[in-house]
Amino acid sequence: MIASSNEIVEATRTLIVEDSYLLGLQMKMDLESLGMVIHGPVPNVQRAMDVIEKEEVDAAILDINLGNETSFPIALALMKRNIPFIFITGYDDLILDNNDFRDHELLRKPIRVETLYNAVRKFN
Amino acid sequence: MSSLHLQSILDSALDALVTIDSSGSIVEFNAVAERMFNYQRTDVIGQQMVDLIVPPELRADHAAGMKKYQQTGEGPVLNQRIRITAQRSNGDVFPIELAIVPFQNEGDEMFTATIRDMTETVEREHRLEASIKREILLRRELDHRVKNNLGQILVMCRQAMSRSTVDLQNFEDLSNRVIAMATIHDLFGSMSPKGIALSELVLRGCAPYLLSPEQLEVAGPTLYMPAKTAMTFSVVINELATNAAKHGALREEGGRIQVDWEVDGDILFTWSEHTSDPIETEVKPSFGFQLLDSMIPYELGGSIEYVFEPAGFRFKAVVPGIAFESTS
Repeated sequence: MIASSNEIVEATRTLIVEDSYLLGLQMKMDLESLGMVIHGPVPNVQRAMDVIEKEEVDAAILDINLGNETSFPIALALMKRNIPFIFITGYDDLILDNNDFRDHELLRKPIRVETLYNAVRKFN
Repeated sequence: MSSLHLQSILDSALDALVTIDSSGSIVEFNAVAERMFNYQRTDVIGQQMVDLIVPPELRADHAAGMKKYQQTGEGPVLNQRIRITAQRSNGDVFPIELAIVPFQNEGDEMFTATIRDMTETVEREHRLEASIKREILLRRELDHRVKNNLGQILVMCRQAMSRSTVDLQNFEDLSNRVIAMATIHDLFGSMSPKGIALSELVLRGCAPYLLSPEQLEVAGPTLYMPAKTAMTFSVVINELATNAAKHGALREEGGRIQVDWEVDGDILFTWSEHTSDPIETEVKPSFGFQLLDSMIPYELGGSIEYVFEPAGFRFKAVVPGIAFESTS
């Protein structure tokens, strides 16, 4: 099973950036049911930047490919603020060859709830 | 061998043959060479070969190679096929395959070059490379799409299970959503480079729910959209159609649905139901309405509204034109 209730980390306020409505919705529901506070999901760079500017964000989950753009500008903004994040992607062969992001975890979709939860929980 | 015989061999050769003497002057230039380089044999005999058919940027190399061979007897480019470029009389540079053979003639060191025009071969190679690249890209895109679909189906299943009332209708809705995804895949298969036509998407998406084809009227300018936008639209159209079949105009033979759109920078999409049957006049919270509410605003950056008019349900969406532009 996932985590027992005393392990639930309530303080992790996590931003979800995902361009698919359904996938974003499900991640939000799953992580909320485990006690996380979720910002979003948001589908694009601009709306993610708005959240980062205005809200308290402890961690983020970034889908790399957002249709016409990538989430790399969001990643840079998070790094400036020392906010940890992970990448997720639906592309099998995608590798993070960008040196700036090499140290960040990359999960491949579809992602089990437990995997996602454990990846974000580490940041607390 | 008579010189006539020799000439007939030279002129029937399939490749250009050019012979030079040790000073670099042309002593033989066959018929294929005449056509390839666009020179008359009689005009080039005695001319310096390097000035006529070697591109300017290779002339220094050629001179150095000749000199080295004459001094040392070493000729790394001799007696093998090499790929290089040559120049026609009008200055056009083109790819060739070349083999140079040295030979002795009356005490002089001569060279005969066999030259093949590789323009078409190179073009074929480029086309092949491009098509392989395209295929890899296409396969990658397809893999991605299949996986996305599986992910989406997974979410739909989990949503169906998480509703408080797990009943047959939830499963029925789930099947219909998966069927709608399969339908759009048929369209991807026959997709033109411009994308998927909105009219086609509406017709195919509604077809399973129509009691007769006359129930649906589709009107609007030809409008293509990329795959991603089509996926979003197909979910919305399925929810509209399934809703009409359950509560609206598709419950009765006499019911009609009019779907139209206008293009004005943004795309104005309208779904209007006309029915004599009393209809429900409020939205009960459901996953279906959640999809209607959210898919277009979230995924396409558009806005939506719906109203329950006396004649039937009406849904309007305004979608930014950029969602209809090809991304490739």
